Amino acid sequence: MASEVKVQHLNFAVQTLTKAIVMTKKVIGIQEFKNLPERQQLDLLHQEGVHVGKRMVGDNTVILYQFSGFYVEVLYKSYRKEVEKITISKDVAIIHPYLDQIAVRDLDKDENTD
Amino acid sequence: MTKALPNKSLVLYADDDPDDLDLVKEAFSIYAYAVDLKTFKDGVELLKEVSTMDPYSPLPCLIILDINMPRMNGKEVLHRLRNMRGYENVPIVLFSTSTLPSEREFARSFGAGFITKPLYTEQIHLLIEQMLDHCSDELQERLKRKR
Repeated sequence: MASEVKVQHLNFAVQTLTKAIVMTKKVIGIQEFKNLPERQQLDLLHQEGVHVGKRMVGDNTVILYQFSGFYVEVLYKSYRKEVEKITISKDVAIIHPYLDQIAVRDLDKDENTD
Repeated sequence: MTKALPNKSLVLYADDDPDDLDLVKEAFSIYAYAVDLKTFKDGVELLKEVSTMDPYSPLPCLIILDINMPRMNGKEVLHRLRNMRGYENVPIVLFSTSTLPSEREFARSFGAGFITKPLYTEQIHLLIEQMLDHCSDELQERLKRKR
C-alpha cells in the first residue's frame, strides 16, 4: 500500500516536471550544458531552472533543479554562496529524495486554487 | 509631544526557510546604517506585524515575500497587503525559487517586483541591490553616498 502511494507520488511528480520541461524556453542538450563553465550553468539555472527541492547531506545543502529535460543537483559548501559539486543527470531516480516536498507543494497548490 | 522619525528605513521579509532568512539578513547587514530589516517565519506573522504597526510611524520602504510558505503563501499575502489602507503602493518583491513567467506576471499584476533566489555570492549582492532599487529615492541617495 505504502509503495503504491509512493508510485502515485512519483507519477504525479514526473507529470508535473514534464509540464515544467515544456515551459522552459531554451533547449540545451545535457552534453552542451555539461561543457559550460560552472558560473554559466548556475546563471542558466537561475534564469530558467525549475526548483524541485532542497535537502541536507550531512552539513551541506543540496538543491535539485530541472532544466531543459534533465536534472541538475547543486551541492553547496556554503549555502547559496559556494558550490562544492554539480551533478547533472537524466535519471529520474535523482528526484526520489525530494518526492515528499513535491507532493506537499502540489497538494498546497490544489488547495489554493479551490 | 512629537515623535522623532526613525533614521533608518524599514524592510520586512517573510520566509519559512531559515537558511534564506539568514542569507538575506547577512546580505542586508552591510546596509545596517540605513536599513532596519525585520524578518518573519511566515506571511501570517508579517501581516500581524503590519496590522499592529503604529499608524503614525513611517510605512516600510520595502516588503519581501517568499512564495511557498506554510499557512499563507506569499501571493496571498501580497493580495492582502494591497487591500490594506496605505499599502496600495508600498514596494513589494516576491522572492522565490521559481522562474515561472506566470509567477512574475502575478507579481506584476499586483504592482510588485519578482526576484528569483540566488545561486552564488555575486548574485546575492546584485539581487539585494535590485531589491533596494524599489525603495525611495531618499534611501537610494543615502546608500549611494555611502558607497
